Amino acid sequence: MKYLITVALLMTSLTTLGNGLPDGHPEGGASILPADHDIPKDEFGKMVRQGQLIFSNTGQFAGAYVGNDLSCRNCHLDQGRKAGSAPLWAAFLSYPAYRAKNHRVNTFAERLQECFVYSMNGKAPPLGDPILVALESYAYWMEKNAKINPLLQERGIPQLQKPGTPPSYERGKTVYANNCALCHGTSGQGRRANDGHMVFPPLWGDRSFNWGAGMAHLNKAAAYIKTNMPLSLGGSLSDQDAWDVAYFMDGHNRPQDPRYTGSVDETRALFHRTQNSLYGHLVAGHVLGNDPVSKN
Amino acid sequence: MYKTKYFERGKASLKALLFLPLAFGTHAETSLSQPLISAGGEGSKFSEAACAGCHGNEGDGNAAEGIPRLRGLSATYLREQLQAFASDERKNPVMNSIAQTLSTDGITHAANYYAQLPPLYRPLGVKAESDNELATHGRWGENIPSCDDCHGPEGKGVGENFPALNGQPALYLENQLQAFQKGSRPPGPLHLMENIAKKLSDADIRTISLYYSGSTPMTTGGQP
Ligand code: HEC
Ligand code: HEC
Ligand code: HEC
Ligand code: HEC
Repeated sequence: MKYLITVALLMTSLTTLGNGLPDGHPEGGASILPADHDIPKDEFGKMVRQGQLIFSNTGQFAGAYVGNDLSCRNCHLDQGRKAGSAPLWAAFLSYPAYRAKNHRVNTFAERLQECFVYSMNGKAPPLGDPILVALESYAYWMEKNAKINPLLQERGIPQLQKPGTPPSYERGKTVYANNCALCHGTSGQGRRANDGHMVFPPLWGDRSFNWGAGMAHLNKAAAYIKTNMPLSLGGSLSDQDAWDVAYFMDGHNRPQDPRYTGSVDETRALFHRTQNSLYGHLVAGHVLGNDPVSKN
Repeated sequence: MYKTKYFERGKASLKALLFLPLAFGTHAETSLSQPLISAGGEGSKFSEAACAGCHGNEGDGNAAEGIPRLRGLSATYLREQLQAFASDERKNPVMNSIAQTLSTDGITHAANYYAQLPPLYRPLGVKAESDNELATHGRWGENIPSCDDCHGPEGKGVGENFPALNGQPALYLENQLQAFQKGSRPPGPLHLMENIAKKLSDADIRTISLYYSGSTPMTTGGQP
């Protein structure tokens, strides 16, 4: 409902200004996305709804490809709509694209597969699988029915400047206790509702994203946390606090990188040669990536 | 002194006053009037009879009077609320007086007693699709996650700190959202709830309170 009102207001102001942009496209402001009740009630709409279900309850609707307790919406907020959390509709518009991670041009479907393998600690649904088709339909529907700011400023996660002081595990621990443990639990395990649903997703440990995920990189995690956490209070942490708590979160063990070669040193040399990954480092008495972590 | 307070505190308090004779008329009479007289001493123990007149048997609540259901809420949450009533940080003349008569142990016993009773949930329905927009989708443009994001699916509550909204009287929910806005109730952990309540309009509050109160008959649910 709110989307519609905003559309109406914006369209009025645009007509008055006559800024020459295509119908209803906001110039400087945020893109305007369709609401769920705009999903068509036809065969295509059914696929869109299915995609949304998978996105929101990934373990329930795509269980064979999921190896943790997360759902896509846990990171891509507002069911893949929210700017600042790598929104799905903006991603849809940005592929095919070259990816340094695998040194080739990836399609959108391949990018979806990647989040299954790393963020969801699972397996890639094969190309053409109804699960990927449903997610693509959902992303396409959102994009097609949006009034998109042509600059596409909402894509990805806004970068965060390097911290004034190198991030610290100890300081991060305090930030975590004061701002995060209430929801994500004192040992990052997350929290379920009284009826068993996972409500506050796990941040580390066996049931979280694995070492290959974007969120396991300090720069991505810090930027994500700064913009979006604590939930509903995004932007309230200082940059330093965001880096420190990202370091604390990513300074814990989590499921093994699926590209693991059998040696932490070698895996680090091949895939984690960046200051933004703590994989293979000694943090708080553990060599990260070295603990036996069950997959599934 | 505690009667004049009612007239100073607006709608919710007046309602409570009108309702009082009823409460005192039932089995609440002895247990409630006694501790009130002896207030200032060590405080009294907890006896369910002192609460049942208003909160119903086994803490079922009273929808018409906007008195909350207590059963199945977490012990931590209940204890914190009783402490906040006792210290006048959460302002409600009736509950302030009652909580001030309870000893520290009395508060703990009351909280533990209601926490161990199985919760009651109601099936939630909507008339229009927008009725549960805030509850299940939120309004992220204003940084309002869905209520269910913190209070759990269908508002059934999460852990110790996020109370169930499901099945609470609409009038009670409305009063609380206004209390967070006005500051007549503490902001809660990380000021999360105060911050969200302040972004809600009167119309939002009415719609969302009605939604979580549930419109169809009570069913037992959840784990004991
Ligand atoms: C643990 C958090 C997390 C989970 C869970 C997660 N993702 Fe992601 N996703 C990310 C991060 C971080 C990025 C990288 C954003 C960037 O690099 O700016 C990303 C990127 C993406 C992109 C590309 C965005 C772009 O603009 O290029 C897509 C598409 C995507 N994810 C889809 C999904 C899908 C579908 C799921 C569920 C199957 C999912 N994600 C689950 C964290 C997550
Ligand atoms: C009020 C509860 C709350 C607080 C406090 C909170 N979060 Fe979250 N967090 C959530 C919820 C809920 C989600 C999932 C969002 C969704 O599904 O809509 C989430 C998602 C996340 C994610 C992505 C999902 C995952 O499991 O990796 C990260 C990372 C995260 N939070 C980190 C933090 C950090 C760090 C803090 C402290 C600075 C914090 N959160 C504070 C509720 C909270
Ligand atoms: C005279 C009526 C009355 C009696 C007797 C009474 N209460 Fe209450 N109680 C109320 C009202 C009214 C409220 C709602 C206050 C508000 O709007 O803030 C309330 C609220 C509460 C709450 C807050 C619940 C929540 O969800 O935050 C708790 C806890 C509580 N009462 C416990 C008790 C206990 C324990 C007793 C017995 C020792 C008791 N009450 C006796 C009227 C009463
Ligand atoms: C970011 C997390 C968060 C979100 C989102 C949230 N709440 Fe809350 N809410 C809380 C917390 C924490 C408390 C407990 C406050 C306290 O301890 O005093 C609470 C308490 C409440 C209470 C008081 C319950 C009682 O028994 O007295 C009501 C009513 C309430 N919330 C309504 C809502 C509604 C309606 C929404 C959606 C518009 C919402 N909340 C969204 C965190 C949240």
